Order: sequence, then C-alpha cells, then structure tokens
Amino acid sequence: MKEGLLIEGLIRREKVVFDYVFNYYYSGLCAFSMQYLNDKESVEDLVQDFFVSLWIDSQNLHINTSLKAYLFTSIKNRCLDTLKHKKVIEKYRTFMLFGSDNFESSVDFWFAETELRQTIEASMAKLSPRCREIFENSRLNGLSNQEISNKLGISKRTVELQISNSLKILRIELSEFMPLWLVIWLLK
Amino acid sequence: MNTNFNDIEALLASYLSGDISDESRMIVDSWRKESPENEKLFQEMQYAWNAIPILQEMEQFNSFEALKKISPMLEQEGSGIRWIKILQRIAAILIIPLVAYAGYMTISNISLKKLSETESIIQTISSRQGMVSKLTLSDGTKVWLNSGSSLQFPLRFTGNKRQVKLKGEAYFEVAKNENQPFLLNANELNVEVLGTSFNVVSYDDESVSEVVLVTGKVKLFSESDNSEKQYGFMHPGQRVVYTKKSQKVAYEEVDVKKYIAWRNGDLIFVDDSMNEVVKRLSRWFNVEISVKDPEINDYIYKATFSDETLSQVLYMLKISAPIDYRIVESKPLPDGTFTKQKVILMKKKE
Repeated sequence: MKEGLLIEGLIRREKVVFDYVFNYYYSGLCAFSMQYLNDKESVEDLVQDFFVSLWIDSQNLHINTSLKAYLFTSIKNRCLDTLKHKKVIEKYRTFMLFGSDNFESSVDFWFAETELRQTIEASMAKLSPRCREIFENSRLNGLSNQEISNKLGISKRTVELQISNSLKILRIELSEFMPLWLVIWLLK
Repeated sequence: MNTNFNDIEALLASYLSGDISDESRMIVDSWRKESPENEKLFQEMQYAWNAIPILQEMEQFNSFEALKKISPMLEQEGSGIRWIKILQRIAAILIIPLVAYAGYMTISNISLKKLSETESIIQTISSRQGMVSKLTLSDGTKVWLNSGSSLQFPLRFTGNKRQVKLKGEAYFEVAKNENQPFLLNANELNVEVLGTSFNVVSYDDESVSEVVLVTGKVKLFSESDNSEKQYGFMHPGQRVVYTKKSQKVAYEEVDVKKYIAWRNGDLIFVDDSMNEVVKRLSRWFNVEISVKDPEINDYIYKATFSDETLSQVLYMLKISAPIDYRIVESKPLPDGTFTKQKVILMKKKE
C-alpha cells in the first residue's frame, strides 16, 4: 500500500517522493556498494547516477518486486557491471567485512540506515549491561576477543559466550530483513 | 556428526572473528553443510555479526549533501512537471503562512524621542509564526530568528558585555570582539562567546533548552533563584541539552546541519521521533497538531522538506508511514480573525 504510493510517486516524478526515497535508502545503498567497489567516491557516484536515471526514465519504471528489492538489485547489477567493465576483479574487497572468501555465496545486506539502527538498538536494549559492553567492544570498537578479555579482566571463554549470546538476539531481530529469495533458495 | 546448535553457537563468535583453531573451524564448516537450515542459521549469524560495522559504514554517507549535488540534474529533466510546481507555489502563497527570509518584524519599545540615549534603548524583535526573520545587530552579529521566537537586545552595546535575551529558537553568527564578550540569556541558560556561530532553542513552555555549536567555542552557565552553575566549554559539533528543573546538562556529538537547516527554509528530520516531528511541524506551519493514537509517537522519521506546503508534508507522512491525517479548517471568530488551523494525526487503518 505504502510502497505502491511511493512507486507511483516516483513514476509521476513527484520530487517529495523522490527526495524521501533518496534520503531513506542512500546511505544503505552506498554501504552496500562498498562491498563490491570499496571506494567511497565511486560508490557515491554510482548510486547518484542510478537515482538520476531513475528520475529521467521514471515513465518506464516497472517494479514487480518490492521497491527495496528493486533498488538493491539494480545497484548490485550496476556494481557488477562496473567491476566487469573495469576488470578490477582482483581488487574486490571480497568481504573483508564478511569474513568469507566466496563472493557469490554471501548474503546481500539489504538495509536502510534507519531500519538497521532501530533494529540494532532494539536488540541491544535486550542485553544485560555487561553483555552489551562486551559486544560493543567487539563490534563497535573492533577489539579482539583476547583484548576484551584483558581489558575487562574476564576469561576469553566468557567473552566468546557473551558475544554468541548477543549475536543470537541480534540474529532474531535481523532475520526478518533477510531477502526473501535467499531464504527460499537456501531451504530448497 | 550431529552437533547441537548451542555448541555451534558458542564457536561462532570465534569463527566469525577468524580467531579459531583449525579443528573448531572444521566442526563449524561441516555443520553448515549438514542441512540448508544450518546454512541459513549461519548466514543469519553472519548477518548479525556484520550489522554494526555496516551501520558505521552507512554513517559516513550523507544523503542530504548528495541530494543537493544531483538536484540540478533533476530540474533540467523535469520540464513536464514544471507547471505543476509553479501551481503548487502559487497555492502555497495563497494558503500557507510562508516561511520567508526577511520575515515580519514587530518592533516595540523603541522610543525615538530619546535618541541621545540610544545606548540604553532595549528593543525586542519577534518573528511571527510561520516566518523566519534575519537581522543584524549593531556589532555586526547576524541573527536568524525562527518562527514564533523573540529576541531582546540593546540598540547599541555598552559596558563590558554584549547582552541579549532569547525566547524561542535562533541561530547566531557572532561578530568577534574579544574585549566585549557576547552573552546570550535563554531562560535560565546562559551562553558566553567571543566570536562563533551556534543555534539555541529555548521555549518558555518547554522543560529543556538546547545549544548546538557550529564553529568556535562557547561557555555555558545557568542562573536560577540566585544559584549559578558553570558547565564549562562546548566544542563545535556538540549539542547540549539543559534541563531547567534539575539544572543539569547533557552533551552529545551531532550532525549540526540538521539543527540549523531551518534558517534556509529547510526542514530536516533525521531519525526523529514523531513526537519531535509534530512539535517542529506545528511551529513551522503555525498549526495545532494533535495526535489521536499515541502509538504514532514512537515512529521514527527521516525526511527533508524545503518549500513543501503543509498538505504536501502531510501527504508524505501518509504514504511513508502508517499515519493518516485530518485537517480541521479554521473558523471565523466574531472579531474577524480566524482560529488556528488544526491537524489531527491518527494511525492508518489497514
């Protein structure tokens, strides 16, 4: 319902709708593209170009999936095209973030900044203060488990358990945002 | 091998951080291959593991700047809608009290007779509802006064301090004068500066006052019932919220653009609660907004508006959030004036 109105607004070139969609998804799409291009300037250009062409070609806009799916898959295709074009495949950052070396099998992270922040905050609110402190040290400050164990004077085993515990809660909150196609594909 | 998921979960924190023994890594890998459900759980864990770094990554991208950059390209292409835009603007002029630059000023307390005593003449400038006024004080300080706010200042600054008094919201670009510090009084909260730019919000009917510092350095202290409290210096990019009752301040680092956009006629919401959105919209458009369903207050909103009318803004709310609205038209009063326009926000019925 809401989505339908946004898509209609985009097709009719309503600037308020365009601005809204742009502001809502811009940072999420840029961060998403960073997984492929790993250059702040290039990803911003790429996402901006995409939105300009969306505006220009708005009459030909056909969205069969959700608006979000449309935006993220379009951006992904543009990223892959860029990579193919530039033949810089060896420069793939290839999931330094994701800890995986298989580009294709990794899960796309489809998030708008607002959604992600709300989801993380909701999850963090469910953790005990100690558990939260450990998790933030790990993920926010990038400390290794050993460093956290030294800093807080607890065993490394405790650190690992508490991080697993935090991840479990966050996983449940985030799982509803997993792209549907992936869930279907995995369960086939 | 039939491994319990709880055991696996305990291993995953090490697995994801890469700090894991080969043996444990193999256990996790073979568990992943056991079933698609396991693989899905693993992917979800990885998702959770990446969430915060990705959020940090997102935070370095500024959509408002980017939108400004591409907007000229959109204008050129939007010839088909130009007419609608012009019509919208005309409609806006007719219907809505426009947010204008050098808005209306009501100058009071000026006694022209006593020109020789200009030093002691205090004047008050109020910005009408729905208007932004811009003024320059005698020392060269520029002030943008937001809708429904008022500023009291002397025609000429004498003595060892430049003292002004604010009710409401204003943005200051203070002219530098180290010999004569600029002292702003906003209800109980005082801001002392040498030369800098900052935004202050301090409405009488609110329990907090806030200061956002854009450049330079300011000193804060409060005064109430003869008790004075010092809060030290603020640094650029900081926002301070002062609670009147407890005389306490809270500092936070913010993106200042959001707080000063109003002076260019822009209204920016970045992850603001509906509560805050309602407050700002009602000041901006000079309407009374009431919320019928309190659940709405928790809704988080992100948007930017520049010259949209109230009905356009409400329409945007409607299509982007589970919110519906009803406008109660102003009624004429016996004395020829009109009642304030009212808007009622409610939860959208699915």
